[in-house]
Amino acid sequence: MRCVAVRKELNRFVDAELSPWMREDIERHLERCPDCRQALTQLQEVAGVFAGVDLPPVPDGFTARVMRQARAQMTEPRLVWWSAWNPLRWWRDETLAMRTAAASVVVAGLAVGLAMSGRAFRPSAGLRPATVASPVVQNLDFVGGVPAGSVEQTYLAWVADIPEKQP
Amino acid sequence: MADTLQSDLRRKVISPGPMSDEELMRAAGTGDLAAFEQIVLRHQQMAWRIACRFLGDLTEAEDVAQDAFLRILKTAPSYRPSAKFQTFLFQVVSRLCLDRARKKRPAYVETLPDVATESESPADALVHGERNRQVRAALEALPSKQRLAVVLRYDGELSYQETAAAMQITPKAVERLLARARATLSILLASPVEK
Repeated sequence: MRCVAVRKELNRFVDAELSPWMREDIERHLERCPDCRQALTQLQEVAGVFAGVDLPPVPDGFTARVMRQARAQMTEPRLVWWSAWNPLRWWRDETLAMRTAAASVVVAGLAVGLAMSGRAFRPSAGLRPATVASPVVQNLDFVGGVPAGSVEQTYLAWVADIPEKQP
Repeated sequence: MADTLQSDLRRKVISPGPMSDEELMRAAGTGDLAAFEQIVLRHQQMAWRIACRFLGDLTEAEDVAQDAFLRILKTAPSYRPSAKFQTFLFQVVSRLCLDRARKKRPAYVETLPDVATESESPADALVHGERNRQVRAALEALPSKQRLAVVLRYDGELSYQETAAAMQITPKAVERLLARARATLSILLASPVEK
């Protein structure tokens, strides 16, 4: 193996994340390459640093405090999941891939909605207001003799494009 | 022989053996607080270590560790063991640590007390303490995600795969975070503490 290839794998070598055959190849290289051995030593020193740094033990009474809060939590009224869901928190906590997917779905939905609404509001070709001679108006003969200024007359004028009679 | 078999069976019924984490979570989901307490007792050490190493502050670490367990209890009714429970615990602790780091005021590196060992001489203890401070300062200098990857890998002793699951990123991303963190740490920790 060449040094360039070995250096690329040294981090994984230190973390024992390599396959056995790769590990053997690198070990054989390290036996004859002092530069790569030096690089490995530096990485191992960093990895070993934490072994010598102790942490304080778990504080006394930790479990008791958690259980006290747990009991209090159990007696709280449980929120229904959708009322407990925070969309801003969800957005912040999700991965970039998930956020991109969600944003794409919203944009696609809006685009489809806009396209469909544009077609819905466009008047169909050939639609004209009804005239006195049209079958629609002829069939409205029960409103033919309505008094001027009445609701029926106004309606008839509206659908049939007939000038309203003045009372 | 029949007597031996019967007493074996009786023993199994009386003392069925320790429950797995997943079984305890299922029990906790039905309101069994004793089962939840078992989970806390089993995993408090690890939750504490991760939070303490990452945050470098005793009070905040305890807050985060407690909060993690309470959140786990809250989700217990809907818990489905798609992975090991410990992975789920690490995910919750990691998320809380990163949230805390985002909101955090500048770190007070001196907050964690030095842990002395009985066999150390005063001079050794002094060097040891100084080295601890140096390591904590170096960790604090890392970006949050690099610091978390380092803490999960070296304190949690997680593999790349497990670290990736805890941080909800890919193993390759973990490898990159660790490589960058090591490069920074090797510069920051290059000067040894002299006696």
